[in-house]
Amino acid sequence: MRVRALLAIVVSALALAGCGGDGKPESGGTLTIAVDAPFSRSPYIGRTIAEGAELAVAELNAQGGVVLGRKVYRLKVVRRDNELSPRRALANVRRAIDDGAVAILDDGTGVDAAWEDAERAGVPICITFGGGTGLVDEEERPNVFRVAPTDRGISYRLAEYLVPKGLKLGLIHDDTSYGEKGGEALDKAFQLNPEAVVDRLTVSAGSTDLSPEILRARRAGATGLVVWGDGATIAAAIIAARSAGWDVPIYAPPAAEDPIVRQQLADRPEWLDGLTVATGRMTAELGPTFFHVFQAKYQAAYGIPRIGVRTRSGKEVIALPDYAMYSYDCVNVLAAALRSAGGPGDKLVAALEQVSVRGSNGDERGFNEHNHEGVIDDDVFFAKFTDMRLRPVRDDPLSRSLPVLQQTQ
Amino acid sequence: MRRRWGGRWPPLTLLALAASLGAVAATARAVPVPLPSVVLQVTLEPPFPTPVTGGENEGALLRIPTVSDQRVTVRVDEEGDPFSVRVRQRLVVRRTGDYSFVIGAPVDDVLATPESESEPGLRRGAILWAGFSAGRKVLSADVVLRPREAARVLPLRIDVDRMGDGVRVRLRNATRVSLRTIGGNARPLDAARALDAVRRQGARPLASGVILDFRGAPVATLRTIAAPLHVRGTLEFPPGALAGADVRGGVKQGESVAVDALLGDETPLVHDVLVSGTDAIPKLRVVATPEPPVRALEPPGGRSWADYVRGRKISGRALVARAVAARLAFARARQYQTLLSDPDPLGPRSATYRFITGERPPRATPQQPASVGAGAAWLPFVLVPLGLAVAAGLVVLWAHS
Repeated sequence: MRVRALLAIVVSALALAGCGGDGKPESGGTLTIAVDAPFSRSPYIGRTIAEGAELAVAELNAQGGVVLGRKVYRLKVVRRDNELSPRRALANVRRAIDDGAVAILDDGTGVDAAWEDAERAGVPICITFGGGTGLVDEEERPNVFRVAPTDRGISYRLAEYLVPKGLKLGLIHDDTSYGEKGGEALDKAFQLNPEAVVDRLTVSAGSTDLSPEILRARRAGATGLVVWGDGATIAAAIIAARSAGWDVPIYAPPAAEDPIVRQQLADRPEWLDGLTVATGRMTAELGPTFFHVFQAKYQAAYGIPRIGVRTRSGKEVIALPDYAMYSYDCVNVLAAALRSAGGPGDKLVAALEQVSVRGSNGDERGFNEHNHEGVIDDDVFFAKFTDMRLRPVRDDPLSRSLPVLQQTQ
Repeated sequence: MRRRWGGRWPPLTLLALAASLGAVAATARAVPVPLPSVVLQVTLEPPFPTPVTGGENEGALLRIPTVSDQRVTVRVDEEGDPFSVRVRQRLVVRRTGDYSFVIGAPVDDVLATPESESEPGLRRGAILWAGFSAGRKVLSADVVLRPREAARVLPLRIDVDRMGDGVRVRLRNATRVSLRTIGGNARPLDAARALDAVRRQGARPLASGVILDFRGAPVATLRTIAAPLHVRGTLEFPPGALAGADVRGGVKQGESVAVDALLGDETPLVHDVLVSGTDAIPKLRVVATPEPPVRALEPPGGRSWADYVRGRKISGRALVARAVAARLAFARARQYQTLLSDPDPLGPRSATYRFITGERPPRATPQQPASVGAGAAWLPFVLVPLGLAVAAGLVVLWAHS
């Protein structure tokens, strides 16, 4: 009889194993994506990164979540403020790992300090703002990815654009991590054309008066300025130059899109006119429809991102959600990789090199075994501020091909 | 006045009927049929097929105007067997705008060459290119392929054998393929004009194509075609090895034997170089270039095929067969001009395949498995049959309990 009982158990177990249910995946719980960003120190950047990620997560959950094997998982975003401090960012990453986060989105602040902890835990980090050279290195840091324009790409595109103009440039960067890394990238990009650079300056972030530094650049014979720093630094440099009556052309990285630049110059909008920003393109050759769709979804979720300034004709100016687009795309690539890998961990990190998704600007977004950058250098374009709005320049082949996006309400 | 039809046909009706019958008869005789396209993909490979990756190719843009050049370097061992295949692929994008495409291949690694204006990406089984071209952009990369998979689609096979008192190097065109295609009959002059058009258009993929009026419906015909392969190079022997040696199929030049052979295009697909009087195995330096057919389209005497057939009794069927075979040979040669695919199926392309004797790297010696690992490896082979035996035993016991 014992044999019969044993056999009955075996047969029952086999029968149960064969009965997998009705084919509908069962709930597997929640997978967490942590967003480590400077919510308190740079609220525009922090909020933009988080909102892009949350929008993507909301859409994925609305579609039923992410199916892994026979289970379906919902996604969740947890915000952690790094206060622009690498130490704080490291603590955030460790806490996220302890809480079981499957991936981390980062502005770049904490990557140098935290990538190793994340790698040991099999957690990928995706940078969606900082473009610093060395943050991403597929050999040394196999778990670090980026969907954002790189400092290298921006610098080389600036050199490619500015050197033929014959300008003598003053290269100015602030002492934030963003500014320092930008300064390094500019030095590398212009090293083949040293004759194009007449001065290099480091300024203190948070300085409200950059007149001495700007005067120094002017005396060095600069006929153009590249200012790489946070939004406040860029605004301060413009104010210092224009208030001295110096109508020098000024060029800046994507931080110039920060509303603070326009807010600081709201009472002298003509001073902003002509500021040229090098940033990642928001539309593909297919046209602006993809971006408009994303912008509409973003505005439906979070409201109209008013900057608080108006055009000369009185129209309200709104911010373009380009950096939200990057975190949105990053989450979608993560979801595709999760499906491909079948779950989180090292296999997710490996799968991130093998998948692509259609990005919110219509371009493909993805990484590969040789490159963990989701925005290629070619995708950097130049736009000039005109009446508080950005318009692609006409003297660069890529920029010329891009449409002017709606930036007023 | 009432017209009387009776048994008599009015002259106009008769004329109309005659005309329509004539037209029907003419239709039955002359069936316009386009000859095969020179961009026909005769077999699945080459080039290696592009994997389905979710739409890397830029939007709906199917064709990115590009000039493609590929230099394939094949390292072979002393017997002529390939053990390493690398491709330097150079693409020149000739448009202003975005480009994004995937090249499928059994790729192990890819590295941009110094002249490349962009970096290629690597995925399992694919190379990725994406970026913006301001009118002209050079994309160039050295691609390392998995040799076993790549060797399958090489156009040339080489066998080096010791034969009696000498050595035979056999060069074989491996592009030959049998396929079912159109055949039939046509007026000799029509077929000759079609041949002239085939010759004139050559391999130009954007040419208008050639349409031939067949006599009656075309029929399916089994045909064997091959891309003509021009093979040039040297077989380098050790010093003194050729002293007193007799060479056939090549020309002795000092310590080496020069080879210059066309495989295909009305010539045999196999060329043997026989070197008797030595047992030394030569080092090969051979370049194979797929070329469009020339001989098959040369009119025998006269300036054109049309001139040639005038006043002669020539089989229309044979001329049709020649025209079809020539078009397919163009297509086959074009196929081998891209071992790796390019984003422009209609663009100019060229390829050379360089075969060089090299030292085959020693095979990686399998690591001696650790005792635990070894146990784990054989365990399933023991446990599974054991489990089945136990299960069978249980069933027997149950039946008897």
